[in-house]
Amino acid sequence: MQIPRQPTKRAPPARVRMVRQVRGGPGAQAAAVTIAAASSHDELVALKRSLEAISLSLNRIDSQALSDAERDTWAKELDRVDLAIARVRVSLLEGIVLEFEAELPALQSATAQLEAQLASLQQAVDVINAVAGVLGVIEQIIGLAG
Amino acid sequence: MNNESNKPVFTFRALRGMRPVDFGALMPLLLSTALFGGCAGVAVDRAKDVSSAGIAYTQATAAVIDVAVDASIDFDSNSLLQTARAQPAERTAQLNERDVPLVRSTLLYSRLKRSINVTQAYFAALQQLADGSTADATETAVKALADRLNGVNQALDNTGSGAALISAEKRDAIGGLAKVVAKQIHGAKLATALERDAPTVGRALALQNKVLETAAEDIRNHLNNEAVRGYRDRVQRPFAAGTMERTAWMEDRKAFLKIQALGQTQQALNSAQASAAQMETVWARIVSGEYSAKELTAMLKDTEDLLAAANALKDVTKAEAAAKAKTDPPN
Repeated sequence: MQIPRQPTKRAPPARVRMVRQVRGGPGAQAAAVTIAAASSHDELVALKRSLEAISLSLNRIDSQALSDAERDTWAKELDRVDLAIARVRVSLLEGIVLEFEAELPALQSATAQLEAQLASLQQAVDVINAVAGVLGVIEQIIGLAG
Repeated sequence: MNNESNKPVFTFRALRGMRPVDFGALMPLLLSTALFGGCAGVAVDRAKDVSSAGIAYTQATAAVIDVAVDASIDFDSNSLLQTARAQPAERTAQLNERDVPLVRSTLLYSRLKRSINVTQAYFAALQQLADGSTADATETAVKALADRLNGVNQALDNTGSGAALISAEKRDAIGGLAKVVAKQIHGAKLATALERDAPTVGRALALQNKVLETAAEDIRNHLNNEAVRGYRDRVQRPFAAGTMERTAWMEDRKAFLKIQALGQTQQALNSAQASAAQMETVWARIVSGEYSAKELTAMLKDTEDLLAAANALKDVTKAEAAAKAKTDPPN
């Protein structure tokens, strides 16, 4: 892509700076990174954030103000960055899913224990009621025998 | 028959020999039980607070996941519309390539929702246990038992005196004592459960925090991009060209500025792992009573702002679609 030459040494317009940054800056390298399936959570979060920042920068560029060639480069870069965001998201979620699902048996066991405790509380009352019921029957039998 | 029936008769007759209940003698027991009952009450209240806060937290996370799934797809669709390649075959390949990770992430979010449901089931069981005091039922059952004992005793009493083995006063006292003991057992069970499960639940909540942050990032990213696009196309450009319709333009400006502001809710400065560790610490402190369960719901404040912004975006998108439908000629 041709970068418009500036007549003076003043800083180039923001949109040009952004396109330059995306072409050769650290963002371009990040976007080109092949995402490994497993990576540490923090690294993936940082990578996704940096990609999202690049995507936002690209979105700030008014594509209607770009030449056809610039627009083509801009669209390709945005496509690559946004695809990379989607892939990093998958890696990130895969890591959390694996961690979370490994915790589920312990959590389910804890839930079952709570349910058993609730049942045992009720059981104690049931036992007393059952004893009272048996005594009632005994009382009736004695009454009949008497 | 008589010899065989002597056993229970002996047992009940033996009870008849009991001294009348001395309230003075019972007082230390009643006081100590009431004291423990007070501690038990604290455990019950804490379990109720913690379970309510836990349920609210899990429900909020599930809601954020739903919004995040939509946000990630909408973000990608907007990107595709801007970056669509020239040739139809290229476009199809581009669409297929972009669909694959979105389908996968939607599935993963769905699996995370199932895991979060398991966490919610834990809090629901804790809540049921906290609400499931059998103190009143125990009191009633013990009183009924005393009445039955009196009934049997009277049936066996050949003297015909009609005297109750356990007086009404004694029966009420024993029933009250049983209630306090049942309360204490209930509280002790809850306190033990909270302490026993604290590490497991702490880890689950820390993971849930990771889910929440990841989902919130997806929503925030979509909002930020929409705010930029919407502000440029519907506020900045018509204003520069002088083509804005006054009321709609004012509404759009207000909406997109709000979305921009709310979408930039405080991002976690710490690393995700540090944040997860913080969640585990918060949970441990809530369980120990050092923190209130409100700490957990307070952590959702930023999420609420984010969801408000997502809703605002939904409203403005609906209004945009409605306005477009009015201006577009019918097919």
